[in-house]
Amino acid sequence: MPSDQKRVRIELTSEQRAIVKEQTGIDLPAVDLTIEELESRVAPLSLNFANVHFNP
Amino acid sequence: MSVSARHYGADANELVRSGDDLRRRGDLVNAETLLRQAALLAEAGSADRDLANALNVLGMLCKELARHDEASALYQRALAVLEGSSTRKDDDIAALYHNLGGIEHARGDFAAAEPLARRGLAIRRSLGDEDAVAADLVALAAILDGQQKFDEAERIYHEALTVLDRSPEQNAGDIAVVLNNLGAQYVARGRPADALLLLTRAERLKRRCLPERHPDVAVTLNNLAEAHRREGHLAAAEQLYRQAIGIFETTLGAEHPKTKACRRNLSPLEHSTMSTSNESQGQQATVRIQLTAEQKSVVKTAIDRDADAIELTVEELESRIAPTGVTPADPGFFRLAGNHNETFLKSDS
Repeated sequence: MPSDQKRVRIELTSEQRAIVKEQTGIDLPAVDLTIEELESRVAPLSLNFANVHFNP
Repeated sequence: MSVSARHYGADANELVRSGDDLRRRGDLVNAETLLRQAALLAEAGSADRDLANALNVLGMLCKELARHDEASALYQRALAVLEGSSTRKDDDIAALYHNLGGIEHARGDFAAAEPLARRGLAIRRSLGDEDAVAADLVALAAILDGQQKFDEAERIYHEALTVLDRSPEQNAGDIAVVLNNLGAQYVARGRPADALLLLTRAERLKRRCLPERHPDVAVTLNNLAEAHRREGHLAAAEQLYRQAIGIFETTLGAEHPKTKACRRNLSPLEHSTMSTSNESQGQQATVRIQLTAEQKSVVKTAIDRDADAIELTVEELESRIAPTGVTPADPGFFRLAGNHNETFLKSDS
């Protein structure tokens, strides 16, 4: 991998750190990824959301 | 009001009903045609509520089509119309705040969504309609989920379910949404077995309440696939993802964000299910980190993609931990600055 590849650092919140710690035992303050790594690790998961509308 | 204006209003309302019926059945293309006609007719009429109603339902359709800016503008205009009207009803205002919050939720700006949802909820509580309050609670909980305020969101989902369960047939659709959202939350919190139970029920309810190929069914199939994947049921996950993608593609189109997201979710499975043993599947357990709005913005800027989360395998977490206070020099790896403590995940995270 080229050494000059742009990197992205994501600082984790305390809640995120707690989740990672709970699941793995690892205390992780941040993740640091290359663009390519980030591309392959984003994982959208859609939640539903109810709309309400009028009752004319 | 003139006779012609009244006719415009009546025709507009009829078109809104027909268009909304199509929208609910997942026929979004034909729904849009009718709803745009309805909005034009309502503009020509003189009843504020008819116009606000047409704008609101068109806004909901635009949201489903991921046209968030347009949807937001329609809701805001409807709100302005009603707020300046002598015929305003508070439950309409509450609905518009609910829907405005929904747009920010869909955009991933949960901090912006929360006050809108809370405002709608406060209005609704003052009106005493418990089922409507429950629907607003579910919406608020989803926004809290987005901010990873999981405990508060979970409590609110259960509060809403208590109300909705009093009329299970009438509220089946809303109950399915709660089960879907709570199941998705459990996936995010690393509880896929609990998630599977809820998402399976959500799928069953949605299939009963909605047309077979409705995008909301596909949303739950996607979440169910994710729960299976996290449990290591890779073949089941792949099959569910493919079902969801098929529905999304036919109802929302190949380029809709949900279609693309679901396809990306499937992508790693297409490779991993080819010849993996159970043992090697276990090595692929992943940790899912739900992103905050700020983190999503960082990701969007970096790779021009909308993302709810990033996932790292436990193996990656293990092997790439940097000692505290030391910046790793090797740029070929992503850096995890922190301490590896004791326990390691057993099966699925």
